[in-house]
Amino acid sequence: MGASTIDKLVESYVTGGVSRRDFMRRALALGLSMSAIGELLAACSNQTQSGQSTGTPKRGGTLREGYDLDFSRMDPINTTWYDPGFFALYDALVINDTNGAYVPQLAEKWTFSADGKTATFNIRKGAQFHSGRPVTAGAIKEVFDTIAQPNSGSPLATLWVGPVASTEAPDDNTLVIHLKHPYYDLLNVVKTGYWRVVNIQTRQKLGDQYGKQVIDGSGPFTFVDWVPGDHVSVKRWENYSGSIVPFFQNKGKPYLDGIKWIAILEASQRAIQIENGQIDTLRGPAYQDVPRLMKNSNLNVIQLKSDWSGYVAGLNFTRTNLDFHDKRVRQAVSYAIDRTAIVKSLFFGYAEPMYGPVPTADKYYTKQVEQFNQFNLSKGKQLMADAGWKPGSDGILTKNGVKHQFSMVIQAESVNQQLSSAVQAQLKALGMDVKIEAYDRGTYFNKLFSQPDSFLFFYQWPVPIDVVTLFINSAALSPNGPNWSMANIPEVDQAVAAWQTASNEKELADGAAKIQTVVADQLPIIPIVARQSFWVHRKNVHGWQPLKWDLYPYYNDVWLD
Amino acid sequence: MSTISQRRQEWERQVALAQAARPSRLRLAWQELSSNKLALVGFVIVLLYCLVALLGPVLAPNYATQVLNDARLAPLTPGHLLGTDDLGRDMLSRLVLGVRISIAVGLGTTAIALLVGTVAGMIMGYYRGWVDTIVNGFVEMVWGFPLILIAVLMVGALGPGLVGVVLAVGLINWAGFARIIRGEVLVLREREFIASARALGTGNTAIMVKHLLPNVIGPALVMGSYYVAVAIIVEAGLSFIGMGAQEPLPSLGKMVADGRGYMLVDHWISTVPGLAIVLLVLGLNVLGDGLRDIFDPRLRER
Amino acid sequence: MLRYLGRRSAYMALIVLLSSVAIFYSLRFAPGDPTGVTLNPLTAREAREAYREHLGLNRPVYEQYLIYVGRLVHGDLGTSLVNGSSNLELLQFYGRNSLVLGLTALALSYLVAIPLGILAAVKRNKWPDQLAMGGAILGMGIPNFWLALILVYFFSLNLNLLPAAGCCSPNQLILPAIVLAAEGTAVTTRMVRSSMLEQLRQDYVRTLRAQGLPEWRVVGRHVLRNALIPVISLSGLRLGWLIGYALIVETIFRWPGAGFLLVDSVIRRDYPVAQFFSLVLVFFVVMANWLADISYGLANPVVRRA
Repeated sequence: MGASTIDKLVESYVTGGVSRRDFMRRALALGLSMSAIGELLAACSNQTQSGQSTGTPKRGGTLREGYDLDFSRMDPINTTWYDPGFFALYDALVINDTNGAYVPQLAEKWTFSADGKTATFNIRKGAQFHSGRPVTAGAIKEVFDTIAQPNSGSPLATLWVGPVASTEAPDDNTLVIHLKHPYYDLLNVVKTGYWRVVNIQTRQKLGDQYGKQVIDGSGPFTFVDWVPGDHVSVKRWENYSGSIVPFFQNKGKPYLDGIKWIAILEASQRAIQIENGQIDTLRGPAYQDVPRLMKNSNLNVIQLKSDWSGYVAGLNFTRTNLDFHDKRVRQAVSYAIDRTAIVKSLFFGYAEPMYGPVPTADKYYTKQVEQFNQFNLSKGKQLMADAGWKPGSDGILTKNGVKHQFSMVIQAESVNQQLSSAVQAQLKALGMDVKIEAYDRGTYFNKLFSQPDSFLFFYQWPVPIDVVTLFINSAALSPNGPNWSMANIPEVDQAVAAWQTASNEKELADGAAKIQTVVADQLPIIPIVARQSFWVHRKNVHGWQPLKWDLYPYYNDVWLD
Repeated sequence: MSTISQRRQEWERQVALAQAARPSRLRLAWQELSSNKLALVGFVIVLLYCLVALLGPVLAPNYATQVLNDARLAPLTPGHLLGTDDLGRDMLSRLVLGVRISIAVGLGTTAIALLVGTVAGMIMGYYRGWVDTIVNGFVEMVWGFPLILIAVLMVGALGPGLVGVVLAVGLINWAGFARIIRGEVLVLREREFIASARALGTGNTAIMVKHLLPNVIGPALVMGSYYVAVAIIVEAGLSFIGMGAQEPLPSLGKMVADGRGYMLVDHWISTVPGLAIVLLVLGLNVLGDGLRDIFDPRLRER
Repeated sequence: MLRYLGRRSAYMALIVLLSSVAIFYSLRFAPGDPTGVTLNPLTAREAREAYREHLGLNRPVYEQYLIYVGRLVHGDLGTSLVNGSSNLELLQFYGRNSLVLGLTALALSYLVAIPLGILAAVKRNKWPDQLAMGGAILGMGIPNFWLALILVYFFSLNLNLLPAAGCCSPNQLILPAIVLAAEGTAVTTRMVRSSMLEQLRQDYVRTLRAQGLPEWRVVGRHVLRNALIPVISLSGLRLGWLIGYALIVETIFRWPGAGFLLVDSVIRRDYPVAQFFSLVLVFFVVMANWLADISYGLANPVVRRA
C-alpha cells in the first residue's frame, strides 16, 4: 500500500469522485485505522477545493453562466458547435470522470469483442426522454443511424462513417456496434457532444425546426428558450428519473431551478460582469483581467491547464512557387516563430507553446514533439537558403525573381488578430512578407475552402487528435474536407490509419504518439500555442466543477447559497 | 442677329470687368474665417493634423517593428514617448500613422461622396420633374441601405482593407450630400441670374458648371467637413467588427477598438488615439461651423 | 390631396421593391452562404451540399427571388435559419428593444438639450451660453464607442454603480441610452439655441414686450412654442437616425436591438433575417425622409412647388 494510492483516494474524494461512504470503505480496505481516517476526513473538508460542497445543498435558484462563445442550435446532430446546454439537456452513452476514465451515463457497461470489431453496450433501465418516450437501445440506434446518413450534417460524421459498419439493437437494453476494423477510439467519439442522444422521432417530426425552440433529450433539464447572440435558458425537469453516473453526488433531480447561459462576446466585459455579480460563473475571462479576479475575495478562479484547443497555422502545399511543398520551407517558418514570446506577451503566460499538434494536457501527449520546432531564427534562415531563397535588397527572400509574399486568412477576432500580427512580424524577420486578411465568420469559412495561401485556425475538441486527423489526412483534402493545407504526405496518412484502427488503449496511445511526431516533423499544419482555461465562480456557487476532460461542467450537483 | 450676339458679348465683358474689380471670393472667405476666432482654431487644428499626416513616416518610422519585446504596455519612457501597446509597439509611431490613415479615410470617403452627391444633387434640383424623381429614388434607396451589407460585399470583392471601407462608406454617404445640394439648387434656380443666363441661351451644362457650382460648393464644403468626422467614426465602427484597416496598419478608430480589453490594465492604449479622434473631430466641426458662417450669412448666430 | 398620397405611396413602394432586389442580390453575391455558419465548417461536403440544395441556393438568383416574393405575398415573412424564430417574433423582440433604447435616448437628449438651449439663447454670449456651447461641441466630438468605454470604466468598474451590459432592466438601459443620446443632445442644444435666437429677433417679440408682458411670459409662452416647432418636427428623423446608429452601442452593451440583429444576420448569412430587417430599415428611412420632406416643404414654400 503506497502513499500514492491514498493520495489518489483523497483526491477522488475531494474532487467528488467518490462519496464519503466509499472513501471510508476503501480507506479501511487499504488498512488505515479509523482515527487516521477521521483525521483525513477532517483535513479534506477543510480544503476549499473550488466548488466542493460544504454544507447541505439547497434547492432553488437559477445559475447564470457567462460564456465566451455564441450559442448554436441545440441539436447534437446538426449544429455548429456543442454548447454547455447540451450537458444539461442531453445524455451520452459514456462520459469521462475527473480522472479521465470512461464512466456510465446511458450505458451501464460495455465490452469489446476479442477481435475488437464488435462493441456491446448495456443500456441502463429507466431513462426517459422529456416527451416521455423511454430511452431504449433502439432509440440510441436511431441516433447513430441518423448520424451515419450522408447528408445528416453531423460535423464529425467522418469519425463514425469510416469505421462503423452497422448498429444493432437486439433488445431494449443492448446496443451492438459492428466495426469494419478495431476502433477503440469509439469511446472517445460517443462521449462527445455530437453523439449525445436525442429523440429521433421528435427530431424528424419537427425537421428543420428541431433544436431551435423544442428539445427532446434525456438530461435533467428541459429547454426554455434561446435568443441567439444573447442567452439560452433551461429549467429543472420535474420528471427526471435520475442518473447513474458514479461521480455525481446527487443522483436525483438537480438542485437548481434553472440555468441561464449568457454569451459575452466582448472579452473586456466578461470579468466585469462576474465582479458585479451579474453572472454567477464565467468561462474565459480576458487574460489581462485574471490577476484581478484572483485577488477578488468573492470569487474562486479555477485554472485548468488546457481547454482542448490550439492555434495552428497551415501553408498551402499547392503553392509550389513559394516552395510550401518543400519540408525545409515549412520548417523554416516554424523555426521563425518564437512561441515562448507569444505566450508571455499575448497570453500573459496563460498558455503554452505547442511543438506538436496537441496540448500537453492531452492524455495522449508525447514529449517527443519537444525536440521539434523550437525557436531558432538562424536555423530557419539557413533552411531557406538551402531551399534556394536569398534575401533581396528590401530584406524579402527572393528566388528566381519571385518574392516570398503571401496572404494569411484569419478570422476577424481579437486574439486571432494579435496572434497573426505577432507571426507576421516574426516571419518578417525571416524575410517573408505576409499580408493578413481578416474576415468575418461567414466569409472566413468560405475563404478557407477557396485555396488560400495560408491560414490561421483555432480548433477546440475534447479529443484533439480526432480533429487534427481531419486537417492532415489526404482523404480530407479541401474542398471535400478540412485539409485546407492540401497536405498529402504518406507518412502522415499511415500514422492516421494506425490511430483509427487501434483496438485498445495502448494502441491508441501509440497511434497518437506517432501522429504527433510525424506532424511535428512534416508540418502539414504548424502548431503555435495552446491556451489555458480559466473558470471563475462566485463563492455562493457549490458543486460546480469544470471538467478537465470535457468542455463543460455537469449541473446535477450544482447548488446556490 | 449680330445685334444680339454683340449685346451679349458686351454684357459678358462688363460682367468680367465688374468681377475683376471686387476682391476674389477666396480673399473674402479668408477675411471672414480669420475674424471668427473659434473657426480659426478649428482650421489650425485640422491643418496640424494634415501636416502630421503628410510628414508621418519622417516623424515616427517604427510603427510595426519590435513586436513582442519586453516593453509591452509600458507607460511614457524616453524611448517611447507615448508608451507601448499590447504587442509592444511604439504608441507615438502608431498614432502618427493612425492620423495619416484616418485622415486619408475621411478625405477619401468624403471626396467620393462629395463628387457623386454634388453631381446627383445638381441634376436633381436643376432638371426637376422625372429626372428628379428617378434620381431621388436612388438617393432614398442608398440612404436606407444597410452599410454592413455593402461593407461585406466590398470585403468579399476587394478583400479586407481600407480600400473596401472607403468605397463602402463613400457609396453610402453621397446620398446625404445629394439631398442638401438638391435643396440648395432648388432655391438657387429661381434667382434672376439663372433666368437671365438661360434667356441668353447658355446651355444647361454650362449653367450648372459656371453658375450653380460655385454657389453650391459652399454648403457642400460645410457638409464635407462634418462628414469627414463621420467617416472616421464609421470606419472605427467597422474596425470593431474587424473590417477596417488590416494588421499591422492602425487607424485611430482601430487602435481604440483594439485597446478596449485593456482599459483596466493600461487604458493609455485606447485613451491616446481616443483623444486624437476627439480633437480632430472637434476641429473639423468647428471649422465646418466657420465655413457655414462664411457661405451662408443667413444662418449666422451673431 | 388623395392623389398626392396615392402617388407618394406608389413611389415609396417602388423604392422598397427595388431595394429588396438589391438586398437580395447583394446577399447572394457576397462570398459565403448559410452553410458556413449554421453548419460546422468541418461538416462533410455532402452534408453541406445537401443543405444548400434544401435551402434552394443552387437555383438561379432570380428564381430564388421570385420564390421569396411569392412567400411574402402569402404572408410568410420568413424564419431565421439560425434559431427558427419567425421574423415577426424577432421584430417584436429586437424592434421593441431598439425602440425602447431609441426613445429613452431621445427623451434624455430633449430633457437636457431644450433647457440648455433655452438658457444659452437667453444668456447669449455670457458664460452659460459659452459653457453650453462648449459642452455641445465636445458632445459632438467624442466618438460613441470611446464614450461607452469611459462610462463603463467609471460607473461599472470603479464605482460599481451600474451594470456593464445586458438587457432588459432599467438599470441596464441607463449607460447605453446616455451614450446614444450624447451626440444628439449636442446637436439638439445648438438647434434649440439657434431657433430661439431666430425667434427672438422677430418683430412679434418686440411687440409683446412693448405691450408690457413680463419677459418670462414672452419667452416661456410665445417664443418657446414657435422655436420648438422645427426642433420637434425633426424628432421623427432623429429617432430613425438614432435607431440606425445604435448598432455600436448595442454591440458594446450587448443590448439586443434591431441594429445589432441586422449586422449579426448579415455576418451569419442568415438570409431571411438579413433580408427582412434590411427592408424594415429601408422602409423606416423612406418614411422618415418623407416626413422630413413634408416639414421642410411646410417651412419653405419655394421648395414646395418642386
